[in-house]
Amino acid sequence: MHAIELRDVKKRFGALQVLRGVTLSIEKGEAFALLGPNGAGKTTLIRIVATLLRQDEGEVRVAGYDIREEAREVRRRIGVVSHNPFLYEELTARENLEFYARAYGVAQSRVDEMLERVNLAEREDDLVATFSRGMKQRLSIARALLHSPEVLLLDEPTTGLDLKGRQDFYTLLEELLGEGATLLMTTHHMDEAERLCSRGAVLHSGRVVAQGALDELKESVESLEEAYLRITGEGNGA
Amino acid sequence: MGLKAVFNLASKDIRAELRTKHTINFMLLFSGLAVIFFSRIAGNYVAAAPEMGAGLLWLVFLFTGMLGLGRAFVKEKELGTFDGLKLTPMSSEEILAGKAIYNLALMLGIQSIIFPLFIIFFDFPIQGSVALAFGVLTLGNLSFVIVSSALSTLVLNARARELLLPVILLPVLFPVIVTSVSALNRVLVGGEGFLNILGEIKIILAYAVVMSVIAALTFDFALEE
Repeated sequence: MHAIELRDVKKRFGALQVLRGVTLSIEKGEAFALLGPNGAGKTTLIRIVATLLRQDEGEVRVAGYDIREEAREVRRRIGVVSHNPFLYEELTARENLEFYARAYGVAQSRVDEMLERVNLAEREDDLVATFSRGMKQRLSIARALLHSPEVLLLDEPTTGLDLKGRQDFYTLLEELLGEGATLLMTTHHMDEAERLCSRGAVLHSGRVVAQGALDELKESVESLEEAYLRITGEGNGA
Repeated sequence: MGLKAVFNLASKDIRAELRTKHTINFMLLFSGLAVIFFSRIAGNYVAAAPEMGAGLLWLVFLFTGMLGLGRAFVKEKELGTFDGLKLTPMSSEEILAGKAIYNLALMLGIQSIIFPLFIIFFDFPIQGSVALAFGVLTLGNLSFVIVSSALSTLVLNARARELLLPVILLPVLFPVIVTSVSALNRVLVGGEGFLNILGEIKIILAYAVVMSVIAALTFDFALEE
């Protein structure tokens, strides 16, 4: 059974066809990068897998559950981190995690555990409004991991993070991968994809134009960045 | 529907509101000013015809509610936390009920301050039980928050949502407001007791139940983008 499976997924917003039949499968314990230029449909795809949007056609399964028929089961098994941390600024770090822990039906002891894990235990009683972007993103990971999800969905999670923030974030993700987490991430940073993911797909105008091991994608070129530009045609004009 | 999940959401919102007081302060300020304005403009008319009083009081609640009740969902949308909420295993009914309880807490807070203020500023000659009148207002406000909480999600993705919500709300709320004003008049002006207004209370309760069912049935659709 695949951790994530998409079959011929299509999505349209009004006259705009955003996804034109995307088929992908991601194995358990795998880190998969979804690459592509702005407007390629990456965020739409992640939002569909996360049950935040409904696809018009096609089938999506997460941990074996159909996202349309068994959305609540899917939500129990996914953790989502995006550039928006989904945190309440007028609440403290602890209050945020306690709220989400109760929403997921998770023991409150897990809150202490997660605060320790993301190195925010000392700031647990501070309002999130006083946190830096990097701290919010670390707390966002703690929020996403509270219920020990099988699959982690990351939608450009390092947007707005400085170098140190990004390095801390990568270290945390590498730890999670070491523990067997499945990861689907969209990113604009090729170095990020290369560091964390073994396989990936390039999405362009709502279609998968290339997919496979990242090493294979960049086989005939110097870097993944070059491969990406060649595949999407964005390097032609340069 | 899990009551734990409902109260978890409601208590989160109440805690955040008590900390910032962004919504309640504006609602209180607006409703207080409205009572003072109405008492200066229509005080003499209400003294001559006290039946007008209940209608004016409901107008204050209506305008105040329209100002603040939609914020429960709009704030989540603006902060980007609405997606976080939808990602939890909470059902749409639980989310709606949690928001409605938070909105009811806001309206009860306003009602507890504005109702006595109204009596004082209008020098209102109360004939019946104040507690019963308060209860009738609470029932009316319960229906109000159920409808406004549900409808505010329908307009969440609209550009002019602040303008759209009152336009949709008014016709839907018309039956419950008319009934509540009638019951309030019979208590405050007519001095009638609980048994005399049981008919109106049943109508308001039935309205609240029917609206809750409709809201629960349509809320899934309203949450979709």
